[in-house]
Amino acid sequence: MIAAVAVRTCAIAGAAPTELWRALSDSERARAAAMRNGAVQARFVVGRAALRALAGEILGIDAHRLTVATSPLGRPVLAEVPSAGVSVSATSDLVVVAIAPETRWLGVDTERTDRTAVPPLERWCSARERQLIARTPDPRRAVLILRLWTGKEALSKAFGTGIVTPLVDLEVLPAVTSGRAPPDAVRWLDLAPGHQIALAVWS
Amino acid sequence: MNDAEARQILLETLATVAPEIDPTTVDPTAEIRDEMDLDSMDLLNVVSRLEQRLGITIPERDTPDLVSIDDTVAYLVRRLEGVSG
Repeated sequence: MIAAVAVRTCAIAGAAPTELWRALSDSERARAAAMRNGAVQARFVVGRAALRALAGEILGIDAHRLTVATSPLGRPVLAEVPSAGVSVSATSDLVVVAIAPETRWLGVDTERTDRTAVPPLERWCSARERQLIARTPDPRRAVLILRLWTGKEALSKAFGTGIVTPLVDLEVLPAVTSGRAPPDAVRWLDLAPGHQIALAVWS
Repeated sequence: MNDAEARQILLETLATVAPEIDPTTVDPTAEIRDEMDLDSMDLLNVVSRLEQRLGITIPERDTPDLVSIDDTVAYLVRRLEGVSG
């Protein structure tokens, strides 16, 4: 069954502004301050601030009082609402945050559509996905490959297994055929021009 | 292949995938993806280029062994034991 989910995008432009730093907890600010790479730091600050704001709105909790913990696999978890699913993904200029109040089966992933230096991803695709790629001419092929990639990443996050589950086993097109996920568990959202955004969610 | 040879090849590979960051300035014990701002697709690019250059296959199940520069160098040395650089 498809579950209710809220998704928000936030642009990143250089260092995160002061008001977003203020939205973070003391421990998040300390973690961000220790990050040596400015782009990684900006993504973390914007992502956490967006996550807190969205969680506060849809769960009815004061955003400043939320405790955002991290699972052993690096996935954010809301300590006050552990049954809620939370997922965050980012490119160099965009953060996407998704929260599903009633299911932990949730994953989101985004990539810029103008991305160059894409590795040969066919190797991480199932036989049916490889056939689909072979049948699709350029330039639609490049779009399809990014759809497959973001879909697999989102599905991997939804299962909570990270890259430990072989991506070749996470078939997303023509339909999801992996584990407990329904065939239509992965959707692609048209929320930000120039970005492919995949959302995996079910209950 | 010894540690120094593997490290040199890894640093050259990282420099081609993320040319804006000098990999020799990166903490070799920290997570490469955070230190060099690499995402999962960048990491697959690194893996693909290492495979091509070294003539090995790095299976997906081994990617958890490739977290830091030191981890990755140790992995490559193990995989290429007895092979001269």
